[in-house]
Amino acid sequence: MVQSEIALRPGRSEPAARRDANGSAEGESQPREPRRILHTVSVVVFVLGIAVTATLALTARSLHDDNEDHLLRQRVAEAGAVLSAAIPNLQTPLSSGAVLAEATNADRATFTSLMAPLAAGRPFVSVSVWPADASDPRPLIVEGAPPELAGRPEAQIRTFLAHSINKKTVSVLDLLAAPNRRLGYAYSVGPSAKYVVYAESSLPQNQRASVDSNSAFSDLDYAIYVGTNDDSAHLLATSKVDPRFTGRTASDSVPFGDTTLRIVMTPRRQLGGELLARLPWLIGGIGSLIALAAALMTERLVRRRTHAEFLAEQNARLFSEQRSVAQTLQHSLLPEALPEFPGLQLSVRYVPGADGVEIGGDWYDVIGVDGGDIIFVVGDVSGRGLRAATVMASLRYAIRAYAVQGDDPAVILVKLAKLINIVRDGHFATVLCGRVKAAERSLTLANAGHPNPLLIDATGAEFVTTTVGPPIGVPGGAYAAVSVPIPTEATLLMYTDGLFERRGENPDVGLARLRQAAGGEQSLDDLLDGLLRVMTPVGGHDDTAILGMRWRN
Amino acid sequence: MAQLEGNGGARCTVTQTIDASGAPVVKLIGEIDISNAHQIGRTLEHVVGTGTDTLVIDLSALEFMDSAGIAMLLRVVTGVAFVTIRNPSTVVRRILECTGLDDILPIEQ
Repeated sequence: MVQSEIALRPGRSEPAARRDANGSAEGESQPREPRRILHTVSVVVFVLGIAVTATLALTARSLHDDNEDHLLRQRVAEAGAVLSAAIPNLQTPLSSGAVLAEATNADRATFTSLMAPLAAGRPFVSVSVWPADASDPRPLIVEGAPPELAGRPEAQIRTFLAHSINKKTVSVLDLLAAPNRRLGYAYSVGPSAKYVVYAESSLPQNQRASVDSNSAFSDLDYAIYVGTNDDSAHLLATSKVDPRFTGRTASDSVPFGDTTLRIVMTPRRQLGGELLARLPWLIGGIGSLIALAAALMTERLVRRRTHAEFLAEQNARLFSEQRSVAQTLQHSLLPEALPEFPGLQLSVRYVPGADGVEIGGDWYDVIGVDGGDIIFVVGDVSGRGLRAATVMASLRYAIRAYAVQGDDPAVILVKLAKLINIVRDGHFATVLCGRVKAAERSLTLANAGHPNPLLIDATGAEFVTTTVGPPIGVPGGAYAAVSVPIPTEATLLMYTDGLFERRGENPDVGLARLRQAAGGEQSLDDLLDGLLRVMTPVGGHDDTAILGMRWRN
Repeated sequence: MAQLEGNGGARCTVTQTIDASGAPVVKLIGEIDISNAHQIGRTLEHVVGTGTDTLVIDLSALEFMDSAGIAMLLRVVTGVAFVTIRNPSTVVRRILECTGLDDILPIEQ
């Protein structure tokens, strides 16, 4: 049985089967580019951007809060200082009145002349002189309105007056709960005093005291209480209807006679300015936009990469398709099956080059002719591609025609040389053509620039020396045949240079390697397979064809 | 001088000088294979196109040449009466000898 086969180089990977977006296995149809609404990495970028933005915004907010608190505390302290500065205005006239009362033994005319102007409303509505010995707690002199104190129970009056004598400061009497809403102030010169000077000031009925718009405190609401508690019963004045402030507040207490004034403040607007207040929102808004833009940019880049990967995959698929087309064409140009001859075993191998995209120009042929003779050919058209393959096909069929006409190998080569021309066709071809003479058990060989064949017998492997003429396609060539006797147990190997040539290596080295590898007793098929395995490196550049002939005895 | 690189990555530089006898000398430096043979051929055709009847091809720095390279040289030198190959490497010399081309592309002795 004559064997003809196309051996594909093993281990060449085909593109792995892919699945399209719908998950169905890729079939005959074109694969579609997978589409996704959003890629995970874009979402992650967005979430990270938002997280960073939120952190910055919260930090800005916290800084703003701290700043507002600090400013408010400063303003409350300032307000406390202003209040403190106002208190001597009350104390000074009272102490003058007390000294005068002691010196004049509470002379009404003198007292009136000094104190009456002060009891006309500002700072007081009522000024009176009381005996320090409070056995009879009634005023000795009254300027202005009758004092509210006089309407109090006697025990309370006694206690208050006794209390004021022992103080070195003004004693404050909280009359805010009374209908007229007054504060009373008592002062005496000391424990030895005979008189106590007492004054009352009137406060607005509605507890409201507006703040001038150009005042230093126009941006604040305040409430001032007598004592230490925020008790509305002791509310002295406020800028608001409802003095129960919510939100940011700060308070301060200043000494006020023998009691204290408590001031509570809340800002009407941002003390540090509106820009600072809006900063967290600005950061939040701008940061969110940046996060969104970054996410969109990421998405775009990811899509581009996905697209590039898709194109690369598609290229790989087209490449493999193209290679398969080239191999199919190559296959169709080589003999499908070799003829059978008695006493002769034939085997061929063909391996496309590593890239395999372009069709190669290597070929082989075996033709039975009259008289039981056999014409055999191995050839190699320079270059690659469709033109090289066309030249190869025309040469192959021309040789078949000449062979059938009865031409000998040298004549065949001479005729071939007229067929193609390097200048016109752009290619030349090396051709080794031979005839097996069945009757004489010899063969003749004619060579147009082709590597010499290897003859193997029981004594070893030797290259057959031929007369090498120029390749077909180069004008001016002459060809002569050599005759070679066929020894017993002979095997003749013909091949193209792809089998032994390596880039940058002297062809003699490759040929020696081939001769070395061709020894040993084995079947013809094993011999050819072994040579391909040993001689052609994986990813070898050139096409390789081998024709093996073995004579059975 | 022309730097020619084909898709296959083979690099070849072509330089042109005139030798003492007045013949144009082209020197091929690098490698020639199917990927750059065409481009080098066009470069050499410029030299030959001047109507010279002698051409020296200096291959002393050519490391490799495949059959496409040989085909290119054969095509270029058609019509040039006296072509000489100068100083080919052993590899290139053997390729020329094995393919029976040492008559058409004679190597300078």
